[in-house]
Amino acid sequence: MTALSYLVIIFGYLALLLFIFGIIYRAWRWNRLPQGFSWGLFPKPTRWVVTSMLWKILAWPTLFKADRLLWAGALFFHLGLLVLFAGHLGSFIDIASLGERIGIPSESSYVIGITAGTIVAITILFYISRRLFIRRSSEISVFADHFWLWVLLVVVLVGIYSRVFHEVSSDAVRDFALSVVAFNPALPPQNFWFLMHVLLSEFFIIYAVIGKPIHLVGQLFTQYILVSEEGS
Amino acid sequence: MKTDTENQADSQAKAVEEYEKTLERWFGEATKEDVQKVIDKLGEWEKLPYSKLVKLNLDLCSNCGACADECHIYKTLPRKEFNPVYRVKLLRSVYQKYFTWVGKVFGRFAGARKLDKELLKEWFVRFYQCNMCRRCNIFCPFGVDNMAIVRTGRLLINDVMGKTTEDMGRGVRYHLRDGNASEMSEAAFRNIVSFWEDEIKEVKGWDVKVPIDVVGAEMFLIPPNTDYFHSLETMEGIAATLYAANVSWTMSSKIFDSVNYGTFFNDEAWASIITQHIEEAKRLKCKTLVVGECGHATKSLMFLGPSLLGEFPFEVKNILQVTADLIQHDRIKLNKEANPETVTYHDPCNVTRMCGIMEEPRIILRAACMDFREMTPNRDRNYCCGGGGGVVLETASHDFRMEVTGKLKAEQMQRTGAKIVVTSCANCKVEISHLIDQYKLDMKWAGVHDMVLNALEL
Ligand code: HEM
Ligand code: SF4
Ligand code: SF4
Repeated sequence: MTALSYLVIIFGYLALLLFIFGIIYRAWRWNRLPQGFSWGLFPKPTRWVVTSMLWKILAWPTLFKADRLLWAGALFFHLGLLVLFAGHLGSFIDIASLGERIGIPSESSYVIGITAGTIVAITILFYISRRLFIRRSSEISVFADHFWLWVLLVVVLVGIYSRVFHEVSSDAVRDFALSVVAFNPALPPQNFWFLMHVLLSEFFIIYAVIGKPIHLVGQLFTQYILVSEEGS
Repeated sequence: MKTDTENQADSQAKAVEEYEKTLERWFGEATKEDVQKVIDKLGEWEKLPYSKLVKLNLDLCSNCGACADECHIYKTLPRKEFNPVYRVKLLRSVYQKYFTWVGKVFGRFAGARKLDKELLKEWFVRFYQCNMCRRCNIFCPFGVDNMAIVRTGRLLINDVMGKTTEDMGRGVRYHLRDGNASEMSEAAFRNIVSFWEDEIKEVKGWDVKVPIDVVGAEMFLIPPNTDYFHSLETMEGIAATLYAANVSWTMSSKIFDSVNYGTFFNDEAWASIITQHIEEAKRLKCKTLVVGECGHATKSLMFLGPSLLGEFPFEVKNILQVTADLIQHDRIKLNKEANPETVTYHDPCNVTRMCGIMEEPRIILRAACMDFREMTPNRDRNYCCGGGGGVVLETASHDFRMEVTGKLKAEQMQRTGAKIVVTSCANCKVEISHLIDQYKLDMKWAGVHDMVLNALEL
């Protein structure tokens, strides 16, 4: 178990470093390239451009037109991820009491977490089956596309499993996480499933910088063609 | 006995196969050195003045396939090779193999692929099958622009091996030599212009004189060469409009062709041709360079030009913007009753998706026609006519265009029930005229200014 603990700590630092500097590096690389044509945007008032961009980034209106099923699946997937992300902040700060203040009883954290995890797991299965059974998607998918979906699925399932059957107290997790950020790592809670969950997520975080999830950052640099309201 | 559907599938397959064979023949064979040079050049892509576009497109696609059904080609014939993502992955996978460490380490598992002679040949075939219409782009959740990659691929092959498709390559050679793509002499140009003048006299009774080489005129008009032969009424309509509104304008006896096929595959030829346009506009000291009913030239002069060569000392407009403006300022009078038939409008990709010129043609057509009807989808979401990306320029692509790339457009036009399909791009006009013949559609085609010519009153 201690070998696993050390792996968790080492990869934890690696993931943290790569995540922060990797994202900055990639954004810097994209940003310094010459933009060339600026033909993406119609001559429209800036306010229209800004709101359309936000709308396009947050609600994916054109994906809605192109592939409604993927739009719905991806929306649930990302909302689920967002909730999980918020929940995981609890590893660093005391969000339970924060939640109580805005009216979410701390007992519901369990239900919220498991529900969000389940939604994410189901939508990953949806992603995988798209890549297996929908032709326009399967014929262009490569090994890596499938591989990382499976990794994420395992991360989520192990997370759910450890929470349901081998729960670690949130105080113990927070003590460990804070010791890591303070560059004075303590031994993590000795719980195999918990440690596996953390280790696998660290791999996924590293992947996130070089792989698809970077689309969160990358799309801010693309030249969206903003779609007119009049067109149909 | 075969059913209709089976027959149709057969003729589609045949058309595709034949055009692919032709493309392969045009490409010939690559050597090992060619392959290496393409890789080296790909390594220098950062020097391209629009490399941000290329890089993000190479980095961001998630292979989700959502764009595939938005491509009229894949929608018509859902073959793997026509999937927009399959096409651009031909290049993306090579980029990953040589220039990303993930691709270097994980190779095929990460989708990376070595470039060899066969793959390079496939680049040529697939990249020249794309209409570069960018419809897939607007539906991608991350704004990935497959057209930018297709163009980069064409560019690499052309830079290294000098290869492109036949008629387009010839057009560029002529253009660099003569200042126009169709071997037209100054005498021929003057002849055609006086023919327009005679025609206007005949239908309108007006003594229009087309100003030529007038230094200091406000507007300098460059129409596409195709309109000199294929769409005379468009040119007469433009001349009559500018005459009726008493605009100060001119044409040039040297530089009278807006087309620029370099737009589709080569930066250097493209820049030389556009420089001809710019220099002539400077010589004539015009305030506004007005592009005729030509899609790729509008894109080229409005957006690519200033971004690659620096700002011009004059403004660039499309003739649709000029005429719509004249209508809105009551400077011309139109009588709708001259155009009683039902009219629909095909939005050319380059005019619409690239330049955002969407409402102007509608302002004009609503003012000039009794019954204007939209086709769906329309404006920036419209389907390409099937001739985009220079595909229509090839005589050899005819069956491929009729059976595959233009089929959806033919169906879309027919559904409107209109008697006239109007459009504002010379290449679209050629493609649409072929489609009307091929599918025996009960309709005519016309340019926007053909309708204006009918309706114009003094
Ligand atoms: C505003 C930000 C974001 C937008 C607009 C967005 C949009 C999308 C869309 C439309 C898809 C479906 C396309 C596909 O199947 O590939 C997708 C997939 C995905 N997204 Fe995001 N996303 C965002 C942020 C994130 C973040 C922060 C993560 C971090 C974990 C992430 C991870 C993923 C993953 C793993 C997939 C699945 C890819 C696959 O199908 O293999 N996304 N995203
Ligand atoms: S640019 Fe147009 S023709 Fe090319 S893949 Fe995209 S939608 Fe299809
Ligand atoms: S280009 Fe965009 S829509 Fe098409 S597969 Fe890639 S990410 Fe999906």
